[in-house]
Amino acid sequence: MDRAYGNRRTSPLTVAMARLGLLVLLLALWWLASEHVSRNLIPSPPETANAALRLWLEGKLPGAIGTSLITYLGGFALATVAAVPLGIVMGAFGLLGRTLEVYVYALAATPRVAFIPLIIVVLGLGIEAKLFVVFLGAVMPIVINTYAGVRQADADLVEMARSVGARRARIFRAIVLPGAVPYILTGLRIGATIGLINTVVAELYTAVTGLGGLLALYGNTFRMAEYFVIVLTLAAIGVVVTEALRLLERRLTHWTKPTH
Amino acid sequence: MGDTNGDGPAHNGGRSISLRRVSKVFLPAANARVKAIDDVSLLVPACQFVAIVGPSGCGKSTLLRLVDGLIMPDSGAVTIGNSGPAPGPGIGMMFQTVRLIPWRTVRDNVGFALEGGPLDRAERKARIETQLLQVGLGRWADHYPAQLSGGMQQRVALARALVGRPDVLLMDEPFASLDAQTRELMQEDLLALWSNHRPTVLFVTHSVDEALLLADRVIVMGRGKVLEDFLVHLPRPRTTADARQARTYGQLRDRLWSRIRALVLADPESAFFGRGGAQEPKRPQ
Ligand SMILES: Nc1ncnc2c1ncn2[C@@H]1O[C@H](COP(=O)(O)OP(=O)(O)OP(=O)(O)O)[C@@H](O)[C@H]1O
Ligand SMILES: [Mg+2]
Repeated sequence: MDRAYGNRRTSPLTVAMARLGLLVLLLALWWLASEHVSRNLIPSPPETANAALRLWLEGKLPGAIGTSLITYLGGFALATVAAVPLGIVMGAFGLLGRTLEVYVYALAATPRVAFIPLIIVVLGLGIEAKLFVVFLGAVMPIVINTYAGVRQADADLVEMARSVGARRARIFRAIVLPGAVPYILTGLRIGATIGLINTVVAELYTAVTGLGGLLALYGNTFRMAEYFVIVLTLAAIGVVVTEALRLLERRLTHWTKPTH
Repeated sequence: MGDTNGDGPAHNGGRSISLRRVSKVFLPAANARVKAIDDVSLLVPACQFVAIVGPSGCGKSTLLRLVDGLIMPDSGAVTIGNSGPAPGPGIGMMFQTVRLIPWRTVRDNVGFALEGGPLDRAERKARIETQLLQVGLGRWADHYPAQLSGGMQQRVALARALVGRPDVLLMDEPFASLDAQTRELMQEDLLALWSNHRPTVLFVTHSVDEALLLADRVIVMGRGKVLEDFLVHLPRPRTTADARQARTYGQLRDRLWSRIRALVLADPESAFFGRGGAQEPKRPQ
C-alpha cells in the first residue's frame, strides 16, 4: 500500500522526523498565535502545559480519561462484536445482504444525534445510553466495510479454489474471509474515529461526565488553557487508537510487502 | 478420483477427454449473445498432448473451463475417462493468470490443492516438498507470491496444478508472460514431466512454435469452432533446436501459421480485418 505511486519507499525514520518537524512547526505557530491573538482566547503552550499538570495532579484528568475510555472502548467493542459477524453473514448470504443493505445505508446516512432524545427516553442518562450512542456511531462503518469486503472477493481466486475441488464452506474460509480482512480493518478505523466523536457527543448530551463533560465545563467558563488540555487529550486518544489499528493492519497484511 | 490423489505409480497415465456436440452461450449483456463454444465435438485419447491455438476470444479458455467442470455446457456432453467432469486435484488447471493466494506462502499455495483430500498431514507435506523441488522452488517455500518474479509465480501455479498428480492437465497460455529463456526451460520441464507421468494435456498457446514443440496434435479454433485438427509427426524427445531442424517442422509451421493468419484477417473484430485479401475461413469439416 505504501508503494501505490511509484516504488520509492520512505524509511520509517524519515517519516518520524518529518512528523516531529511538523509538530515543532505547529507548536511554534500556536505560540505565535497565542502572543498575537487576545490572550484570553488562545493560551500559550506553557500555560497549557501547566494546566495539564495541574489537572493531572488534581486527579481530574485521569478520572475523566478513565470514564471516557470506558464509554469509548466499551461502545466500540460492542460495535465490533456485533458488526463484523453481521457484515460477514450479509456478505455470505446474498438475499439477506441485499435485503438488509438499504436499511444499513439509510441508518448510516442518518445523523446519529437525531437518535439521542429517543435513546435518553429508552435508556436514560447513564452508561447504557452512552455506550449505545458510541455503538451506534461505530457500528455502521464496520458493517458496511465488512460486507463490502466479503462481497468483493476475488472471483478469479474463487474459481481457482473451485477447480481444486473446494466447496462453498472451504472457499469462504480460505479465500473470501481472509480477502475481507483489509476491508474489515478499514471499517474498524473509521468506526473508531466516529466512536470517539460520539463519545464526546454522548457525554455532552446525556449525563455530563468524562472528557466531554470537562470540555463543556471549561468551554462555558472560558478557561481556555484547561479547555485546550482536554482537546489535546482527545486528539491523543484518537491518534493512539487509530495507530494501534494501523499496526494491527500491518501485522495482518504483511504478505503485501514485496521485499523479504 | 480418489486413486489419482493417492501415491500411485509414477506412470499413472491419463484419462481420455471427449466432447460431444458441446455448445456454450454467454449472455454478457441484455440482447447480446456470444456463442463461445459452438457445437464442438472432440475426442482426445488418454495421454495425448494437444495444443490449442486460435485468435483471441475464440473460446479456448471456455473450452478448458468446460473440461475442468467449472462451467456446464448448454447442450452436449463432456466426458473425462468414463465420468462427467468434476473439478478436483485429479484435473490440474493452470489458468491464464497465476491466481495465487497472496496471503499464503508458496508452500501453502501449492498445498491448497491437497486440502480436503485423502492424504494425511505428513503425506501432504512430503508431496508438497517434492513438488516444490521439482519446479525448482525449494528455497522459496516460505516466501509470499508478491516476493517472487513473474516466472517464479508461474512455477508456483504449475506446482499447484501438478501436486495432486492429475491425469488430465489443462494449461491456459501458461508460459505467455515469460521471458524467452525461462519459457524454454519451463517447456523442457513440462515435456520431461509429461513423459514421466503421461497425463492427457490440453495446452492453449498463441505460439505456433510452442505448439509444434510440445504437442502430438494441434487444434486450431475460431469463433467457437474447431476449424483444423492435425497430428504433429515429429520425433520425440524434442528440443527446440532439433525440432526446428526437422523438414516437416517448416511445412507444419507454414500450414498452421497461414491458417491462423487467415482467421485473424477474416475476423471483423480484429484490427487487421480485411487486410491482404483474406478469404472467409469457411470450412465445415
Ligand atoms: N463469463 C463470461 N461471460 C460472458 N462472456 C464470456 C464469459 N467468458 C467468456 N466469454 C466470451 O466468450 C468468448 C470466448 O472467450 P474465451 O475466454 O474462451 O476466449 P479465449 O479464446 O480464451 O481468448 P483469449 O485468447 O483472449 O484468452 C469471448 O467472446 C468472451 O467475451
Ligand atoms: Mg483465454
